[in-house]
Amino acid sequence: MRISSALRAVLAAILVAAIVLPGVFASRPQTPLSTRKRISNVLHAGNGRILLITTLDSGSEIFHVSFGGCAATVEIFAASTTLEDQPYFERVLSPGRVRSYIYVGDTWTALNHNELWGAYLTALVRNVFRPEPLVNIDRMIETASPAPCKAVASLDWGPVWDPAPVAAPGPK
Amino acid sequence: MTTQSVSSGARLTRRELDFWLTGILLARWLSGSLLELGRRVSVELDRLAHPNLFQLLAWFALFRLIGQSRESGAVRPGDIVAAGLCAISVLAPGDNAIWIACTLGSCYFILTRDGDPYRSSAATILIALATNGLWGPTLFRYVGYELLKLDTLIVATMLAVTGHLQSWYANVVTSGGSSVEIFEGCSSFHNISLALLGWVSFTKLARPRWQRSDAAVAGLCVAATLAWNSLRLYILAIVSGDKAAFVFWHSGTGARIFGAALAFTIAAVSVAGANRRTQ
Repeated sequence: MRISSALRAVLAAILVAAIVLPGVFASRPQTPLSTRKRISNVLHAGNGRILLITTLDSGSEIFHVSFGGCAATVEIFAASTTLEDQPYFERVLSPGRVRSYIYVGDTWTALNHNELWGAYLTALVRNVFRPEPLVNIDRMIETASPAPCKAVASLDWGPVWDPAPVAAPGPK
Repeated sequence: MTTQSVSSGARLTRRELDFWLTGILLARWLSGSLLELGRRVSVELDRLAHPNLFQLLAWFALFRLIGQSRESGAVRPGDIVAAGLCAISVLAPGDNAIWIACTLGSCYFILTRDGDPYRSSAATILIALATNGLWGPTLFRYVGYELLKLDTLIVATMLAVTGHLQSWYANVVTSGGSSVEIFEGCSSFHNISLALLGWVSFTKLARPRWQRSDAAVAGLCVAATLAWNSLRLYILAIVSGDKAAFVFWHSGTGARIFGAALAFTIAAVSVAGANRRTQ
């Protein structure tokens, strides 16, 4: 009987925690920065100058950026990990570009859907247990340069998914 | 239920443990859903027009099935360990913790079913909830692009039959001089797991055991989902040159009409199938 009462008390405590905890986690300081702001910050930090941003109906965005030391404009694409907006990107992209695909901690020079999905799954599972979940896990970064460009390769894309608050960029 | 089992000092029974576990899962789902609703109110007011009635129905069915399950005496140590693991998993901080917990809950009911069809049915409802909330969308992220191409093929065929098709490739279709790209959120395959959740809930509310015709009813629900969503995509492609009409069918009243028609169709087909007894 005593064990039953103790079990009921534990279950009641878990029930209350199940109601309260989601609110506690949600009340932590959230990072209000949009994907656009996060990418802009990364580009500014890498001394890139954003010339134009195109937004697709899917919410994906294409940044046309110039970097010192790069021969021509570089296209940066915040793409869906479902690859649903790839046809549009293929259509607007100048041919012969050097491509790279970045997702959380991984970078690929050729698009591999299996590896991308595996990385997405890892991020999804990690987010179940992280008090501050990674953000934008349904987005990858795709870059298209006219030629291998050191400035693009050296960009630190971590803040795109990192839940830590990012300072707004200063004037450029 | 005996007088002993309901008195405050009585031994914890397996059914009572089931109610505790389901209550904990429901509390976590409600808490998360209300927070999500709060987030969306500020950014996507139109999404509120799509309350997830089938999920609510599933939770109701779950409690009813547990209430109907066999009273099998005092709880066993194995039950406590399994149910405890499941209950504690709802405390993980991520939004998807509830679906992981539902999956574990489904395993718990399967492992402890002891030939009771109501416990098996409770397991089915829980895995259907988890599939709708997590596993379905995750799988969709893997196969979604191929399904979008199939969607486009279906819509292009419909447009070609009615003489409206100009061209199509991948997930882009052009009609009347305007192009429409079919994205994940618009896919005909998008609501299949929700339709199946509704079908499972209606069927299990009617009877705990499966019968052969249930597979055909599930197929009809999937076909109805594809048909309604494809019809909506077809209309979107035709009106794509008219912005007001496109918004009406894409995210306005037209979208709600389609949502209601789809929900009604699934409910009607599922209820008819659930009440059909072939065995």
